[in-house]
Amino acid sequence: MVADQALIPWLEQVRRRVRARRGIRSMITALVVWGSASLLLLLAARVVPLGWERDAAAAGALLAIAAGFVLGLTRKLPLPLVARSADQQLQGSDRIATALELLGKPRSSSLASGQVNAASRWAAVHSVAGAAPMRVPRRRMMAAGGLGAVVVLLAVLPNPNDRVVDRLRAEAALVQRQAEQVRSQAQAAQELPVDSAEKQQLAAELERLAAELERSGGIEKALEEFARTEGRLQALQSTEHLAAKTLTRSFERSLAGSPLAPGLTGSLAQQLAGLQEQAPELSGLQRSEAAERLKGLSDSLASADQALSEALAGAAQALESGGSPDAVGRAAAAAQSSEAAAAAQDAVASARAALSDLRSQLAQAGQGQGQGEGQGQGQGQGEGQGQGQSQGQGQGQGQGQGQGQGQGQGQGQGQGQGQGQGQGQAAGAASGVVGGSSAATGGQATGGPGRPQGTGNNASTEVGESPIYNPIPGSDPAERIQARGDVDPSGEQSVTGRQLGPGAGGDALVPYREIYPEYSNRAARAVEQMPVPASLRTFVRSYFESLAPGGNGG
Amino acid sequence: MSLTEQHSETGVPLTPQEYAEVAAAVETEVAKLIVGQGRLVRQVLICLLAEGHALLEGVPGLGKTMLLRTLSQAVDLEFSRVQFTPDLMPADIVGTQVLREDDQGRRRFEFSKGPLFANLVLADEVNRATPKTQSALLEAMQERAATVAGQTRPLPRPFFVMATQNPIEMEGTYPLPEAQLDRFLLKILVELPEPADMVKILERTTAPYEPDVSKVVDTAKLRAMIHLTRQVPLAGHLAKYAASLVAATHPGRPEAPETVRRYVRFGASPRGAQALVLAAKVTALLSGGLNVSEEGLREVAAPALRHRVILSYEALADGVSADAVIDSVLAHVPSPTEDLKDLG
Repeated sequence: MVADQALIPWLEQVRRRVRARRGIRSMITALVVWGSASLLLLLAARVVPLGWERDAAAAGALLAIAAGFVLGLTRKLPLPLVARSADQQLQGSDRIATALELLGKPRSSSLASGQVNAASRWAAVHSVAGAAPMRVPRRRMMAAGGLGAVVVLLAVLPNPNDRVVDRLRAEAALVQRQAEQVRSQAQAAQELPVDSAEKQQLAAELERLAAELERSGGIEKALEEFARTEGRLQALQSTEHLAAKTLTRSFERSLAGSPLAPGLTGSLAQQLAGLQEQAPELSGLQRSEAAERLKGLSDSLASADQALSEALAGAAQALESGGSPDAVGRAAAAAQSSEAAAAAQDAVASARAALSDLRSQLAQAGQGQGQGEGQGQGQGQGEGQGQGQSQGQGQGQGQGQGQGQGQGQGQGQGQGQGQGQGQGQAAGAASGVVGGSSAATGGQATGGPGRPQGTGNNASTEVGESPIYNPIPGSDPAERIQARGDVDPSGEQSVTGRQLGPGAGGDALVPYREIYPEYSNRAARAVEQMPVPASLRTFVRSYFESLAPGGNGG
Repeated sequence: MSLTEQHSETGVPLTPQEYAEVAAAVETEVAKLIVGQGRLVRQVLICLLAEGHALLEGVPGLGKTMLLRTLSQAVDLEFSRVQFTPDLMPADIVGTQVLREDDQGRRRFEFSKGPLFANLVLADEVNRATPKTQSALLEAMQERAATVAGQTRPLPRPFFVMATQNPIEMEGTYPLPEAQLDRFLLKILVELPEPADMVKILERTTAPYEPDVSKVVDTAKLRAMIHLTRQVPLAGHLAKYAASLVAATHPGRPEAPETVRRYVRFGASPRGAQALVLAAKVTALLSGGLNVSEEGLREVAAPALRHRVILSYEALADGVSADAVIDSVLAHVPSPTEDLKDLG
């Protein structure tokens, strides 16, 4: 019976070896499956850009090895099956399997006991290794090895789609960066010291755009979102507010040299408030002069800001008639309200300009990266244009090209700022200049660094064609409406769409040649209507003449 | 650990080793006269040790009768031989009531035993007897008893019927009914010996002296051997395999191969599976094993099943034999080792 008891431990040892062998076989099978799947994946990645195929193949190999081995090792392996396997390997004519079966039953004859005993002794003289040899399936192993080698080769060989994947990733990163910028703008809009519905709506729109950009992940979708938001922001903008602002600012500049009443300083609203207090003490002549100036401003604002215009007219009448200065106070309040509205509108306009800038960067990134592949180093060149006014307002714009495919643009206000961007594998350069001082940021380039350049007052391109920010779109509808339509066979005309003048269709940048006359006319009208000394009027006229397209200014 | 198995009735102790030695001795004795028919002798011996009946089929002159007669000489058994003919009556083989007169002149019926009342009955050319006589033999083979005049009389044990039949000369023969065929443990085909063996046969049978065949086993030992045969353990997976082999001979079964579906009318009965296992048990002991093995089952599959598979007319027309059908079954039915492939 001692031999009987030895059979089970012997079989347990055999079982351990069979388990290990099955684990190895299972692992090799899993590797064959992995190899086939990885091969298909890597081949597919050469047709469709995926980007994750190498990682997946590497992870799959580890998973196949681990899962295959563990699966083979942990699968159920009954002892009778092990006994039969041992019989097969040792050519035992089913003696171990029979003995194992008899071990679990009451033995009715000495022959049965003898069989168990003999089988146990027979097993004991055979090695466990012989009963469960560590054979590996050669064909399967060769298949796994072959597939593995092909997979490694495909993973190592350059994939033409790798560049596409890199580009898509770069685009996604760019879109994410832009989303962050838009979010910053949204916060900045929220923090504006103005309380108006436009401000809230602007911040909400920018926030929504940032969220959409984060979700989009691609340039096309991002561009659509930009266009959608720009359209909404355009609807927020009033066509008259810039005109009103310009006129008010011009008037305030005149107030700097010639206040409404002696000793008054500050903005229109502040001077009106001061005038209300001083009104009783003013002489008739002073009241009359102030009334006349307010009347002039009221007339010029009649179409741009009706509320302020009426309040100013009321104030002028009150001053002239020597009535109660309360009307002047109401005019001060209206002027303050107009300033707030103008500030909100400014914010909307700035946001639109910034979005337009971001959108063009995005569009160029999409084009440039697609075209720039395979190019070597390039050279960039920058062109700059700037213009300034006496108060420091100005706009600058630069363009850069990298082997003809990169583009950059910049615009600036105040002291002038320029941004340049170059795409492709060439270098991009940009410049922006106003009044000789510039702050230019480097171009964003794929493959080559941008080279910022700054130049002042020297436009190497035709100034008249240079794009410029249009602050007063559609200011003269009678002259600027462009209509599209159809004529039916009967001669009946129908208008299918109409568009205002330059920039009114949503374009923030229009050719300088188109916008210049409006600037010049408005300046001339303003000079005529305002109490400006003759010498200064001449100065203003000559200044605008110098700005005429084809002139030397810029 | 002693492997001695004692027979419950005879009390004769026997070990598997002795079993194999005795069987080998019987084979050696038979081989003195029967040359080149080792497989035939082994299969007849299997029937003997399983207490099963054997049907030997072969053309005349191949030594069928000689084999059985020699076997009866080597084994101490009561032997009788019946030459089956068309006019053989049941009473001729079973026995009959005869009127006897004793010393006092009184007459009474007394049963006169027929040749069936022997341990080893040689039914020569069994297919020449009429169905009526064959039926009498049928009862004896199955019940190991004979009924005469309403009284059933047990036949001596062990009881073997070794029948021979000639596959040619079909005229005037009565093919054995399927039911009777089923009662034979094995159907053994007797084939022409090789020329070299034939030379030895000539030397031994035409010399002035015939070799002496010694009795090497008596009835008691033979009964102990038969008892030991049935003690051989059979593993569950091999029992299933035997059952699958038999099931696959039925054309309606899903596991049947195409050959069976096409050429077999009726497959083997469960008795065929019993014959398969019993014969495999003897094979195991004869080869020194103590358990039934897959090889043993495969080895005896053809003689155990060939007479149990009833072929269709299409098989006869195409010349497909029962052995070919069984070969296809053996090839088709999954081996018990089939499910070990997963283990490598």
